[in-house]
Amino acid sequence: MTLIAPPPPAASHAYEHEPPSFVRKFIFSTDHKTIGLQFMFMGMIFFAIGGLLAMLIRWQLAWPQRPVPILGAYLHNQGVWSGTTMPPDFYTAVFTMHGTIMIFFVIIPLLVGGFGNYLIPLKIGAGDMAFPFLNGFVFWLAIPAGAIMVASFFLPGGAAAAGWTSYDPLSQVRGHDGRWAPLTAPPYATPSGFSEHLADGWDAIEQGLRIQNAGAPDPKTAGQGDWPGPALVSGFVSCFLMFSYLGAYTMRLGSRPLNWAATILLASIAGLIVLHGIQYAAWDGQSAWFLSLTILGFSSILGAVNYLATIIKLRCPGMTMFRLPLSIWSLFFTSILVLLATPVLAAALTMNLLDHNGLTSFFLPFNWTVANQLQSNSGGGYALLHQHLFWFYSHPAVYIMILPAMGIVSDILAAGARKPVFGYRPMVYALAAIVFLGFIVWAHHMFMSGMNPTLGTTFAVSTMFIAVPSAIKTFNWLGTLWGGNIRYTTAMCNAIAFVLMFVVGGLSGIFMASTAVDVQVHATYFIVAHIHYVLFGASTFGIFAAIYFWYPKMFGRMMNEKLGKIHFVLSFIAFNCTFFPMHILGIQGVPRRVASFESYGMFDHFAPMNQFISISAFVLGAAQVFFIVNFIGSWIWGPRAPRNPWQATTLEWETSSPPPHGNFQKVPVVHHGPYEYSSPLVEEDWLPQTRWVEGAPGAPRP
Amino acid sequence: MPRGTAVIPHSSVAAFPLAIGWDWWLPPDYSVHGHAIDALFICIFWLTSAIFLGVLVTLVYFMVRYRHDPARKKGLFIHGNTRLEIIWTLIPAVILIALAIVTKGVWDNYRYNALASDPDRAQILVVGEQFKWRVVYPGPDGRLGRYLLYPKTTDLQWPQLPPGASFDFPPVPGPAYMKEAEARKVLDNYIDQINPLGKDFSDPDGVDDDWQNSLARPLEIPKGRPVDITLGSKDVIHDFCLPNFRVKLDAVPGMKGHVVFVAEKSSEEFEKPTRKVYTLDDLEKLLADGDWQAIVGPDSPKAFHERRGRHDWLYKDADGTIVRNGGVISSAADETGKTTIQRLRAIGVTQIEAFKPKYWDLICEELCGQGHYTMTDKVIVLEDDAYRKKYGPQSATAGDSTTDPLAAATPR
Repeated sequence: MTLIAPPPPAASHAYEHEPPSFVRKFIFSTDHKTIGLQFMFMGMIFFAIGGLLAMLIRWQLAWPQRPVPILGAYLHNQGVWSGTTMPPDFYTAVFTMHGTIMIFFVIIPLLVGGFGNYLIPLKIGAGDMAFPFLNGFVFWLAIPAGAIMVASFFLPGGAAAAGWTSYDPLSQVRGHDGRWAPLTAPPYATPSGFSEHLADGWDAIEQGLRIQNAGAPDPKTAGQGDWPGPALVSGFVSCFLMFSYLGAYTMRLGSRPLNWAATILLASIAGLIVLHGIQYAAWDGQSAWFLSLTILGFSSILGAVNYLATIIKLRCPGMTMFRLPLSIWSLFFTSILVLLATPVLAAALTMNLLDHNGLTSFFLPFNWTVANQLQSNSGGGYALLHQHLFWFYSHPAVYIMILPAMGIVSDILAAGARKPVFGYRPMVYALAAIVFLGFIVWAHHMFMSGMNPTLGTTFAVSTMFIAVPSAIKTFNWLGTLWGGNIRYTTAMCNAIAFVLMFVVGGLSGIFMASTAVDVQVHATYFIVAHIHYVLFGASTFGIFAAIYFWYPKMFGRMMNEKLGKIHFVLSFIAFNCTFFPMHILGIQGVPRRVASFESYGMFDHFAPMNQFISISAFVLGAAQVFFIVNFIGSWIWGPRAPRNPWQATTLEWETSSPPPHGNFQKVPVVHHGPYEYSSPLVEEDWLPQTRWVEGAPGAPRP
Repeated sequence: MPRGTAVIPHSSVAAFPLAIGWDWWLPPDYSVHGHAIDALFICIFWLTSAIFLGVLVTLVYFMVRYRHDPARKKGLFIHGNTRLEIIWTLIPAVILIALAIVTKGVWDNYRYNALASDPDRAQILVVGEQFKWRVVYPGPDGRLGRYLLYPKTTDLQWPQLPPGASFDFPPVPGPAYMKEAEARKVLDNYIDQINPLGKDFSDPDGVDDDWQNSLARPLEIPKGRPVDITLGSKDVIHDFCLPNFRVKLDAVPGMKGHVVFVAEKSSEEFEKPTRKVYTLDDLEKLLADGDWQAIVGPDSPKAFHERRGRHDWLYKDADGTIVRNGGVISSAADETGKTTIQRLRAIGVTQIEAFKPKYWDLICEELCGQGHYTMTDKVIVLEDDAYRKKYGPQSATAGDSTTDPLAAATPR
């Protein structure tokens, strides 16, 4: 594939329009760099929320009957908890939301939304994304999704509490006022009920979409289905902002005040209408969860379209596909994963939402009762269908979460070791193999689900195969370090930690890939250990590496190396102390998602280990303070960053720190591959992609 | 490779005491198929440990050896090595294919167990509900009836009642003749009070089933004989997990699961060595690890004999029964505010025959709601003749039952 972008226009687009207003420059920006930073800040804020939830989990598991500090007193005084100790349904909601927030609102926004947006146009030599307006919409569509997810904590029954996997039928067992109460029939679910309400039209739909619990007060008088105040405000504001973004670029009424007035008016009306609809669909925490992720899914798909169009069509002259840095290759493949997998999630979530509102029974079987009560929407559904649909997306999702980090780490390792990436083409082919195989391994999450055992075997085989490209990449990273001249910057330390933690996480995956061994470790803490080694140990250290590496480019300041190293060492040690013992808990059979281990005679003796894990987790949380202080402090007081502080070769280092709107003064022309470090053709130990030198290899081989 | 053939790695190599008394290794396994699973686990463990150590050593060596040296201006300018790529693609692939093949054998041995058609197997129905397990035994005929068949509000006739039970159905022929909401209330009451398991009372196979006390009763299985557990669920997905028998399978509403395994040791084998006459002081110390059970008989000093109930011999004081034959001796205070030991001392007893009951855990290992962490049950393995005496002879024709207890309820 040697598609080359068409010759650039005479002048770069950036200088064709008048300087944008404050709102268009900083809030409703279409500049990929600003949008990238917006995603990054969104991810970091949600990281704090998800991290707090993790601390609550660890408190409960280590000290199950002790009052929760601060939060316990607050929730007790608010009447949410009857005491100051954590009730089990709250714990269930906490780990559900911890997983959901970390996956959908931290890692994917940070890696794919943040670094994807920021780096792609810069590294391919483009002025911006292919569809800048769409790009901004991707962010502003994610904001209502986030608002709904946060609002779900305040809805009747509390936040979703069926695990981040929201298996059916548990996610259809509705909670109301904190009690898990069964759904009883909406009036039109049976022939006799239907005819009574046929004449009522809208009333019938309205009633059908509300819950009628036996013994619960009349929904209309109880105001059920209406969101509480804070949730309403955040929902409205987020929808308002999204519509305002659209208005900011479409209103052309002649004068700016008129445009503003029209935008504000129309956005408010649209926001109110949408909010009304949201309240019908998302009347409790679980349905809000479904809705939020559906919206986020649309945002992801639109973003993926943008990335693919940009990478394929907007590469600068000389930037062939095999001269792309591996970070761009990984984002390219990630976008393919998003594009093909997310629609299936949308289907699953929509079906779940319909089931949850009592209209269908996609996943709810015949003879279904809850608490000895017949359920109205018990019909010929199949519980495992949800699992198949969910995991068909969620397995590629985990590759969505690791692939960008892999690409970023390749970039950083090459720059830090002052050597080309070892095996560039095999690295690309390995990425492609991971994408392809990633679509045919999903049911390894379902080995114990009761599906056909032979189906389990086929997925075990494909899962074993997917370890091969990951192994290839690991060996190539080691090869990149071999013979290098390694500079241990904070970014480099984090990148090397990525490699090692990814190896641990990947190797623990082999246990689970074997269906027979999975009998012992499925749904135990072994899985939790694996998840966190790949998602924190690999992806999050990859995110840290990326931030430390590109912070000078993004903010024009250098971060403090000392603070960075302290943050890294503390995080690394605390992380391993927190999650390695979970392997041990897991092989003993300690189940995950349990509020305490006191009911199990065989796990009593693990209390000290749980406390050790919790203390390590608190240290891990505290260590992030060094990062926050460094981040904010460097922005304000850090030394100004030069254009290319790491002496790296890729295109983003050829422009100023931070880059101007339009990225490059002149469209760059690329002459060779992205990792020409330590080239014998030049005196320095790096050869930028734009610098022509006779004899430089056009593209890396292998 | 035919189903059921397991290529079993030799496990003695790695029965290495990595657990230094801290229970850091696999829990003990008391099932036949579990040994192969453990051996495979150990195989993978050593393989992955070797790979990890190799990577770690290499990484640390490279980090030290190739750290920045200002004298050395550059690193190695090499883009890769095709032959090396091929080698480190093929070797992992071969190892993983081998693992997959061995896995298939062990897995098939567990899920397609040839013993599933053994006519002498013990069949038990286990149904999960929030947040307790229900265990139904088939009775002397060895056949299970039909379960999880609930009435619908569109039925033309009221559901059948078990013999001897009475229920106030409204004076119409069936629920279809009433308003939906009211019919559902009646049926919900029927299910709750009469028939929580959805039993089909017209089925002759189920007439002698032991189902009435199914809620949260211990799961008792025979030793040395295949146990065929049919798994169902009433409400949400639960998971039937016996960590000490390497058994795990989700109980899914609308589906029927089957697990067949053989237990190798009985509870009695563990209880026998602990059965002695203990002084009360000694016994008090031992109670810290869990409850014990008392043996009270005609030879027990100061014991009373009561004709009421199954257990004739017991100890009692002014407040009532302290402990019966087979009763629990606990370190916790009872309703009189005193512990068993204290009350026994008060009536002048100095020693008592006791044993430590051995049971294993049945854990629900799939999130089923807020009470998920309480959904446990006891598993007791009885000697085969004791099991047959208690639960029926399970004759050769019994296991021939072609009716799966959940077949009618799960059309898939």
